[in-house]
Amino acid sequence: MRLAYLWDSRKCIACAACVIACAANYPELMREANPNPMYGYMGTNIRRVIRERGRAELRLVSCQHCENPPCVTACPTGASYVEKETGLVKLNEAKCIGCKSCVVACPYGARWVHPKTKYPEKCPGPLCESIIAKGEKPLCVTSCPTTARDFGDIDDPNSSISRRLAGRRVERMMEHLGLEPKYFVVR
Amino acid sequence: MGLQISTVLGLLLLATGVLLAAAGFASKGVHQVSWGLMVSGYVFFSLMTAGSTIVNSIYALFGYKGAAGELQRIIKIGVWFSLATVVPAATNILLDLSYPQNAWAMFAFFNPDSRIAWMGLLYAVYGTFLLLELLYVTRYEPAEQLSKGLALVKLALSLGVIVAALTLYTNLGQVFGSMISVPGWYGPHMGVLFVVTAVYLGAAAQALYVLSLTERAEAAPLSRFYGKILLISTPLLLLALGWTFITASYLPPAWTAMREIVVGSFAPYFWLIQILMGVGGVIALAYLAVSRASRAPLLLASALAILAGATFSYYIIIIPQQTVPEALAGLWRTFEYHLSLDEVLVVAGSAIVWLSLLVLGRDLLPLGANERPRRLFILK
Repeated sequence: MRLAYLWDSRKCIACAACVIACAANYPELMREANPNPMYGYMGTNIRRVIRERGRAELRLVSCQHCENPPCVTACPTGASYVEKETGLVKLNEAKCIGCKSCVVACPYGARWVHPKTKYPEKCPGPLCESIIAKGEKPLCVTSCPTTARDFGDIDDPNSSISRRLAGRRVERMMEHLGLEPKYFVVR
Repeated sequence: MGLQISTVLGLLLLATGVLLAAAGFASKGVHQVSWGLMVSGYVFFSLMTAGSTIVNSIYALFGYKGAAGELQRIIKIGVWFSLATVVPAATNILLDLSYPQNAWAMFAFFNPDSRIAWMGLLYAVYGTFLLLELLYVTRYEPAEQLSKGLALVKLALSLGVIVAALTLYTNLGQVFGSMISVPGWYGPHMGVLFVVTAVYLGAAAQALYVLSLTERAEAAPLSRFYGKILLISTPLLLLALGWTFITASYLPPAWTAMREIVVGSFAPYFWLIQILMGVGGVIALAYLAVSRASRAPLLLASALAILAGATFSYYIIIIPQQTVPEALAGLWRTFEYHLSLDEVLVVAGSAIVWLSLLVLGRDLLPLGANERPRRLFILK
């Protein structure tokens, strides 16, 4: 099984519902004045990146669950790891020493340091992890009003994500780095 | 053995440094740039100890005693300087961790793919070799005729410590050089840049310490010795730095960061401190120190080199590259780094701990020529 994310940029209306829904993973940060100093806004795993030059363009960036994740390579203790059963990149907090090398190593800037626990957070957050474990879709997918997002097993040809990917023009961000990200953007 | 005033002062400094560093750690926050002043401080002291060890190897491994045997007489001071300088480096990096109490996990769950995991292991090896070398050089006078067995031990220690130092600091360079996420760092040049900078910085810092402890009669040959090292290492540093910029110029995301150093917000530090003082000033003063065998220009050159080394660690190598980390094509975002009090406290605390160790080492360790350990195998 290889779980992956899909974001259909053609359907996205930039409402930020997924960004806000993701913040439910970190209810303890809701009342914080500066809940995510690294992203500069709420405690969420989804980063909005807007092209400042030329035609405005939005990217919603979160963990790409790379097949060759640089965060896992950089982690000195193996606290960051790829879960064999799902292919998702996860963090074992018990092994984490807080060196932030995973945060620095991620070319997508998909990790941020929780201001209270000081652990490097990433997608899926703790709530989404438990939702995914039940076989359901994470909050960013279920909250999207236009079904621009999807999640599922790309090894299963009958999964909704596989069907949506079939025959579509998709790209993976920074594919040239050879990290084999499992976050597909429909263009 | 009665306590000297300087020993009491050293102990007070040690306590102050520990308190400051602990206060900084206790109030540590989260910053937009992940590796900030503490990592810069770590790199600064790391390069210094490595460079000092490389300078020591000129006598310890290659057997060059100096024109008047002066290197033989200062080897104990040099080895102690290298060992004492490991402490602030380790303090900075351990306190930069969110969970320093879990640092044992680097050994228990060692990830061989991680450059940082290797740093932990190599530091342990380097520190052990340095400690053994210190015990050795204080126990056996350098001028002593050694048995074959002891000569082999000496060779093994000198070789072990220099191999560990070179491996450690090229690996440290590649902690940064392997980060595909930070184009300004990425590449094989970082290891070379780190070793060259280490020699420059280590020689300068060791010169200040050694010249403060040795007789005035030693000043002339030592000024020539350290001056020559600065004269060799400064152009090499310029070459390695220049090559770093040339490499970056081929990759737009890398150049975005490096351009900030040359013509952007970091340019004043680069041109004024790194180039004018750290290269021009150091070469001119080191030349004077060598040609006149004079102590004053060497001390000034060393002070400038240390200032340039600190600038290098902070304004040239660590911070600018992280302020433009976004590599998504056409979607660049600029990070901002604001120095915080907690970081300043940790770095200042570790620097004070370092100074205290240098003072205490002078007072408590048998670093003088013909001095031998009398207590606990290491103390005067």
